Formats: sequence, structure tokens, C-alpha cells
Amino acid sequence: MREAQKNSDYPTRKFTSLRDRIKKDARGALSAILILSIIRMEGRTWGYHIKKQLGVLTANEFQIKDSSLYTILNNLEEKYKLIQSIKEKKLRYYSLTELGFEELQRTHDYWQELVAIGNKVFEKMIFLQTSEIKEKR
Amino acid sequence: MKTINAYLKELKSRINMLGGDKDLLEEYSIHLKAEFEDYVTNRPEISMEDFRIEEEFVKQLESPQKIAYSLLGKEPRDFGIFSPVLNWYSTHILSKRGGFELTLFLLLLIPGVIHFVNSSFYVILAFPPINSLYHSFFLFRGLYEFIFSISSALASFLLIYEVNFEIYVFSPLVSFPAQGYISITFVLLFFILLLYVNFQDSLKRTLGTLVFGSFSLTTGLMSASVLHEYTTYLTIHPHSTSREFFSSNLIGYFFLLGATISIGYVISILLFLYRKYSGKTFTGSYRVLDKVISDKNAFFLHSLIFAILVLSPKILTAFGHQTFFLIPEFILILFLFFGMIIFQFWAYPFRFAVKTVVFMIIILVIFLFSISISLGLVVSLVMTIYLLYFSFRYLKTPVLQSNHN
Repeated sequence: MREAQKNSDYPTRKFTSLRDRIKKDARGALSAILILSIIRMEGRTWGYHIKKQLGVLTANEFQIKDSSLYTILNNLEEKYKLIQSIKEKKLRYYSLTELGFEELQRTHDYWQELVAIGNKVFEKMIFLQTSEIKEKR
Repeated sequence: MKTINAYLKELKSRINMLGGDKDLLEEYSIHLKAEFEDYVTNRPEISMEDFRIEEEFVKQLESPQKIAYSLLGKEPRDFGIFSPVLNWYSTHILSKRGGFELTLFLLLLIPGVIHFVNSSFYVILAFPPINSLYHSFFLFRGLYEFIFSISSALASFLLIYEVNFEIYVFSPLVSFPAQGYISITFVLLFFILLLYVNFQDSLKRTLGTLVFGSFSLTTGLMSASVLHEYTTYLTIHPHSTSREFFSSNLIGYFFLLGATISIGYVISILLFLYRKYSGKTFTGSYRVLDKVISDKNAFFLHSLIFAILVLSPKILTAFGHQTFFLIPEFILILFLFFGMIIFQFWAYPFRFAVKTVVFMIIILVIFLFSISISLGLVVSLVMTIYLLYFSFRYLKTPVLQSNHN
């Protein structure tokens, strides 16, 4: 892969900004989906527990900052009405709304479709790159 | 180096600054404590009382400002080149205890400095012999404005003593133009507001302080105009007494009201400071200010303050002070006008800031282009009543709730 990058005409700098773009957009979307999923699994949970479960389920490969976590929770509740919250003993517990259940299922299906499409293309790309390297040699 | 407690303290300042309440802080404190417990659990060689470990833990946390914004569901405001200055001022001054009072003090101080510098240059460049009473007045007036800015009501009290308060009280009124009645009514309305806001809860006390901080500036300017008039009178009638001056000059009566209200302001400020720092039920003006600047309906109050400030030179011109006072007061108005515009767009959502600024521009246009002094004052009174109505209605509404409620 590194050899391919060195010989490629594609500038490394552009590739880095695209990755950053993907990190921001796709990661943000994935965070929301994962948070909704955890709330659904737990039924009723609070902020730090969501963050902790995210680390546990992804083996700490996907971590979320507190500022992102609460921003997403705010948006899911206020803007999209997918979750609701109740304050009990100084803690705010989140649960899915009816709309949240429906939207989560739809979003989950759509995400899987996107990933499947992306994987098809990536697999062919890797295959082609491997073939190009072999030809050059 | 920060510990968790210091971090939470700073977070509390940020949350208060953005209009949140203590519930949010409690909630996040529990979050933080749980995270810290897990952090220490995974490091059995470290005890939870270890101060150094608290600092190491804090290092990996995000900035309190960022967390505060996310907890409240808000986006940090970005004003281009003004952002670094505003953010620095917000973080290091306005969010600290006493930051609001300091800001108010600076807002009052700066015009005083302008006046002082203006008067000093006027004396030095235009009137070399400064030992005469009339010429020294200019320097004294500038110095008075400067002192006034530091202690507005105290300076007015000194003036009362200077001009023999007791004699003045019994002086008959010679004439009373309509604009005089309107101005005095206007002043009385705010005196009532002063009494009202300072005997209610902390939110209203702070609002009262904010209003009367501005109003003190007005009375100080009016008091300064009286001093000028008195000095001018003495140069024309060098053998007259203060009794004769105030018995024949209506503005002295107005000065009396201004001085009386200034005393009331001093008492209010003392009560305010006492309750704030006595450690009793007072929750702190800082927290209240957070709610004020976060509440979109508070634009009425800001417009009210601006109306007061714009009104002051019109009152002076109503009593015959024309070109001499217009220039420094106009500079003051411009300074406050642009300062308030910046503040509006900084503290409020865009559409509410636009509404307030439009309202302020309307006030400014009306005052600058009034057909007559009386019309300007009548309009100002009507608008003041309108703004007062909404301000009282605002004061009665529940304190701003966070987005979580």
C-alpha cells in the first residue's frame, strides 16, 4: 500500500483532507446511530453509561468525547425528537421515543446498505491495486 | 495545574455564563465522578485521594467551555476577529466573580475618561490661564466626570453638600416648562423601579443595578451640567449666592432629583454588595447575569437602558445646553451604541439581536431627528413606558430554563 502511494500521482495532502472529511461526517453519523442503539439496548440509560457502553461494545476502538456525546443527545432530543429524557435524582435518563424506534431501524438498514456498497467498491480497488503492483514488478 | 474541583469550578462559571442552572453541573459532576472512579479502578497502584492523579485525569478532559456548550445544546458563537477578544474577556473576566460589576464599572469609567481628557485638552489648548473659576471649571468638570465614574453617587452627594442643599430645598420654582415635567416623571418612574428591583429577588436586583448603573451616568451628566451652569452664572453675576442661582434656575430642581436618585443608587449598590458578599441567601449576581444575557426577551431591557442613555443629552438640551454638551455626549452615545450592538450579537441568538439593534436604531433616529425637544421627550416617555411594561412582564416570567427541561 505504501509503495502504491509513493508511485501514485495522487497527492498525499488531498487524501488526508478527504479522510478528515470522512472522519467528521461519517463518524458523526455513526456516533448518533451507535448512541441510539445503546439507548435501545439499555432501554433507559444516562450520559456516562452510554459513553462507557460504547467503549465496551467497540473494545475501545470507537470513543466519543463528552462534548460530542451531549451535543448529539441534545440534537436527538430537541431537534429530531428521537429520544426523550427524564430527570431522576440529579441524573437525566434517556429512552427512545416511538419515532426513535422507527428511525433507528430505518437508519440501521440504510447504514448497512451503504457499508455493503462501499465494501464492494473497496474490495475491487484493493484487488486492482494488488494487480497493478504485481504488473509493475 | 488543575484538579477536578478546579475544573468543576471553571465549568460552573461557563455554565452560569451561558444561562444554565446548577442541575446541569450536578449531572455532569456525577458523570465526571463515575468516569474518575473507573479511571482509578483500572490503576490499582493509585489511591483516589492522590492529588496528582486528579490532575492527570483532568488533563484528558475537554475544555470546560466546550463541555458547557454541549451540555446546554448550544453552539459556540463565532464573530471572526472579535471572537478571541470576546472569548478571552468572557472566560477570564465576565465569568469570574465580580466580572459583571467590573464590566459595569468600565462602561461607566470610559466615558468619564473621555470627558476628562477632552476637558483637559480644552483647558490646556484654549484657555492658558486656568486659575480662574470659569476656566478651571472645564478641568474640574472633566475630573468630576472621572471621579463620577468611580463613584457616581458619592460625587453627586459631594455636590449637594457644596451647593448648600438645605437652602435649595425651600427655593420656589419660577417656571416649569412641559419638558421639565416629562423629564421629572421619567426620573420618578425609574426611582420607583429602583425601589422595586432592589427589594425583590437577586435577578431583579441585578437588573436594577444594571439599569441604574446607566442611570447614574445620566444623573452625573446632568449634575455636571448644573455645575457648569452655576459657574457660568457666577461669571455673569459674580456677587450672587447659590440661593439666588437655584431659586431662579429650573435646572437646579432637576439636579435635586438627580442627586436624590444618585443617593438612592448608592444605597442600592451598598445593599446589593452587602447581600452578595455576606454569604446569605443571595445567590450571586453572576449567576443572574447569565440568565439575563441568555434570555431572548431581555432585549427589551437592553433597549430600555439604551433609551436612558440616549435620553440624557436631550434632557440637557431641553434646559438650554446646546453645542457645548452635544459633542462629548454624542461621542458617548456612539461608543455605547456600537458597544451594545456588539454585545447583542455576542450574547443573543442572531434574530433576537437583530430585533434589539433595529429597536435601538429607531430610538436613536427619533432622538436625533426630533422636530422639537418636547416631541422628543414625549416620544421618549411613551417608549420608556412601553419598555418598562415589557421589562416588568419579563421580570415576572420564570427564570430561563436550560434546554434540557
